[in-house]
Amino acid sequence: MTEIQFKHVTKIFGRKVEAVKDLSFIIEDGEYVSLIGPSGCGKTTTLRLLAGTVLPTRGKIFFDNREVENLPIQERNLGFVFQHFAIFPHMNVWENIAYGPTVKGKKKSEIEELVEHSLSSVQMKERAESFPSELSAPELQKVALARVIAAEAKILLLDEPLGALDQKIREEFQFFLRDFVKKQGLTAIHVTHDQAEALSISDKVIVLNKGQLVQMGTPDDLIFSPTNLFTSFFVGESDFIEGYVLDDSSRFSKVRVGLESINVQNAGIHKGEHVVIAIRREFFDVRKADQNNENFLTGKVISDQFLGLFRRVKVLLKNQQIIEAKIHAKSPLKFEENETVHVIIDPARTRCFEFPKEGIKKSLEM
Amino acid sequence: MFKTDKENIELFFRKTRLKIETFLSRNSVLLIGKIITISIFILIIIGPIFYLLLQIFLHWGEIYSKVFNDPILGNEAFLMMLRSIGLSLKVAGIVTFFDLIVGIPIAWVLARYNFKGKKILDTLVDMPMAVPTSALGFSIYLFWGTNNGISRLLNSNVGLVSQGTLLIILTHIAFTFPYVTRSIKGIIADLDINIEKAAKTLGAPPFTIARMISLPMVKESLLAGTVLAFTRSLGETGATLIVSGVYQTAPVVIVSWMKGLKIPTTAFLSLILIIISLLLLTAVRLFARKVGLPWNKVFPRFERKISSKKVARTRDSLSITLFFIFVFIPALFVVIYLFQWWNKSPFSGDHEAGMIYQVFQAPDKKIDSIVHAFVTSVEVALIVTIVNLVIATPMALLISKTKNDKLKGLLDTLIDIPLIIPSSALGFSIFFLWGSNGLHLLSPGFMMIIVSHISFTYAYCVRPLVGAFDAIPTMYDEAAFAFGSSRLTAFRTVTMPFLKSGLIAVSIMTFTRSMSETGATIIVQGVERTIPVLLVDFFEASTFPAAAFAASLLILISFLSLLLLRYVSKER
Repeated sequence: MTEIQFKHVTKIFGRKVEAVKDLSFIIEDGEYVSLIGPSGCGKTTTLRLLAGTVLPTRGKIFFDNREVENLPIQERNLGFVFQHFAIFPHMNVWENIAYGPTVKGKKKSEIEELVEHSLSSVQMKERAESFPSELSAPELQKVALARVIAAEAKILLLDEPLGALDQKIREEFQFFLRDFVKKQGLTAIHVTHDQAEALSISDKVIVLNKGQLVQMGTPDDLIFSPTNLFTSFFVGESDFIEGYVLDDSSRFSKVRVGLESINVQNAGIHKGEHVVIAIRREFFDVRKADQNNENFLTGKVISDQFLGLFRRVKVLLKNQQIIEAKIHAKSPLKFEENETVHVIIDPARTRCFEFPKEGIKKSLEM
Repeated sequence: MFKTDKENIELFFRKTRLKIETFLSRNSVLLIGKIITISIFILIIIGPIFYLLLQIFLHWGEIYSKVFNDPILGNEAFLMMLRSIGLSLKVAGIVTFFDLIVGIPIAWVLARYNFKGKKILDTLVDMPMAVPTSALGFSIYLFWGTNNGISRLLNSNVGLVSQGTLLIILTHIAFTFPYVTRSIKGIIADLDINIEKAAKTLGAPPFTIARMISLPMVKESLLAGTVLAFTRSLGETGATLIVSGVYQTAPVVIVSWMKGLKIPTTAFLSLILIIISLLLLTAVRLFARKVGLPWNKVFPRFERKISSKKVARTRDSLSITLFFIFVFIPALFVVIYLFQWWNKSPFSGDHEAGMIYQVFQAPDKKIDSIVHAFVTSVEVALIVTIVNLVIATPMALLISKTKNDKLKGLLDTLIDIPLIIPSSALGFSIFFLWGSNGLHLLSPGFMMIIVSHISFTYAYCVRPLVGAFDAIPTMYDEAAFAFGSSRLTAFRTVTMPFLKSGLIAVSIMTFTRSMSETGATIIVQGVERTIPVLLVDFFEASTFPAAAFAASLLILISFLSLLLLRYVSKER
């Protein structure tokens, strides 16, 4: 187990390309952390900085309070698991797993012990003599994990490890992977472009954009308490409604949206402030306008689309903003085009942020 | 007890090896390795050419007087140069033209159609590339130029085609057209057939599609193959010596001047040939992407006519027939000739004119010199192959791992130089640098043959290995590093196994090239003889049956190599 710390790490490629900007975070012993973000956000560079295949331009990296940024990859004691497995094709499973201890100069008897132990940790004992070409994708990924264990690595770097697996197997493997990492007591850093995967597998998630850390937190934090517009935009789908704070006296404050006003959760917003209300699309509820509703915005239905488990109701609000509500398909209400409806907003499910000076669109640029 | 002892010994050796590899993987050591690699490259590839240039520059006065202002010959040497270069360029131009006419349809047939015997045809097309050119030239001469081959069928007593330009052209087509076929065959097979289908639905006849859609997509490789064919024709020595007669091409002139030890004029002519080749190479590198195929205009009626199934089938079978009549049969005719003259002349029945007597029984014991030359050839080829593997692998790795695109492109181009400059000119420049006119480290003979063979086979080694290195995903290295491998350990345990078949293929190719080279060997051989050169000697002494014996031996060796190569590349 190893604690990992980044202190103001910056990586510049060539002269100008800032892949990672002033990145600081701490990953605790035995934590499972995912790195997510749009492509080009710097997550792969971060992984490479950890591995040591890329050296930081500025800043320091610590493993258990030991500075490592000048340590070559060979001495960092880490294991790599790749999307395409990187199982050496000319060696059988046993030889692949024995590779780490062999090149580290371990005794033969010790190597045998390590390999046996690793093989049983992934339940692959009976495939020891098989060659990679005879194995399925999940089996290959298990060999990759066993290889890390046999090398006695303390840090596990996972680069899109489930990317080459089928959707169904992928979900099963998520559980296996997390369980495995916890049992072996590894500190795992997992790069993925799949937010759902990151949310279901990790203890903590780091959201990156343009090489900078946007938010680090538990999956719960990211979904229910995003601290900024980008997180609420990137982690799950949200709509953003513009408004002005009318009063900030209680836990819920009143915000004017167009000519209407709604109550939202107050997390440090002030009277008169120009704000953006972020609401996840599945937290909207749409009701007929003739009912006795509370805390709503009025609008006209643009479309009502069936999406399998959900229905997507597009509504044009009175302030000319369009929102999309994801409503459970079981909901009995159906809407006609141009029908006037109420979009119900649960104050506890809202987040309010200061309106970005550069505009919403610009601030969400990836 | 015994078991632990064994284990400890194994551990000791493994640990020592890992320690050595870790030491050798240090950046400073690797840097030294890189410097050595580049130095070797410069010494054997660029060095001789630059030295030649430098010497001509420094001794311009002497060269000027010999070339332009000889007290006896005046500028006759220069005029002869012009004549020979003119002839070489003319031959190369005509040869390349026919290469394209025959080579493209054959590539098309091999890439697109499936038929019985396709694999055999594929191998046969490669044959002339593998067969030593001196054997090829001799065989073609026997077929066209003596009363043994085609004339026999026509019931004539003299050869149909005498030594000279036409015979040179026929010979050069035989060994250059595979460069055209080879360069585009694979790419045509990989083209997206849907694009052609789309053109078809838009109403274009097949010929128009091939001309305007498919060929432009393979144009870069086609151009590369064409240039290779052109330069091969321009620089060929071994076969040309046999078929040229009094019409001497530039490389043949180099050989004959060299034999007369006319060093200054030889140097000048070599340089001119090298410059022509380099200009061609540079032009292709610079403009390959920009060149368009001529005629964007479409002639619907005419093209529809020549696209008809009948015409297409006629064209295909014609190109294959032409291949057999002009390439395959003449190229292997020497084997038939050998059996005709096995123990007596087929004309007079004279036993002393037969191969058995000439090779084994005649007082000059040709078999001794054949065996000796054979041993020399094999020794040279083996040494050259081993040395080249050792020096070419790091160079290929260096090129493959170089991230600077400009540097990579430069190295890439420089590697090609020995491929395209005439081997006799290359041989001369090596003689010039290493021999008594230069470093004075070697004199013509065994060692100098080896140096010159290393020089021209180097590119054959580096180029495929660069491709092999490029094809290995970096993740394997990274995984190995993460588990604690030093760079060298990772190279031995992970990279090398990927390279295995590539290395074997490269070895066979290098071995074959070295076995069959003539032009450079003649220049640097001193008193040594290799089989291809011995063949030329026998030919010049008019002992044809003995020459046929040597030629058949060479053909047999290269045929076996080719089969071996096929087998190895199939393993992959």
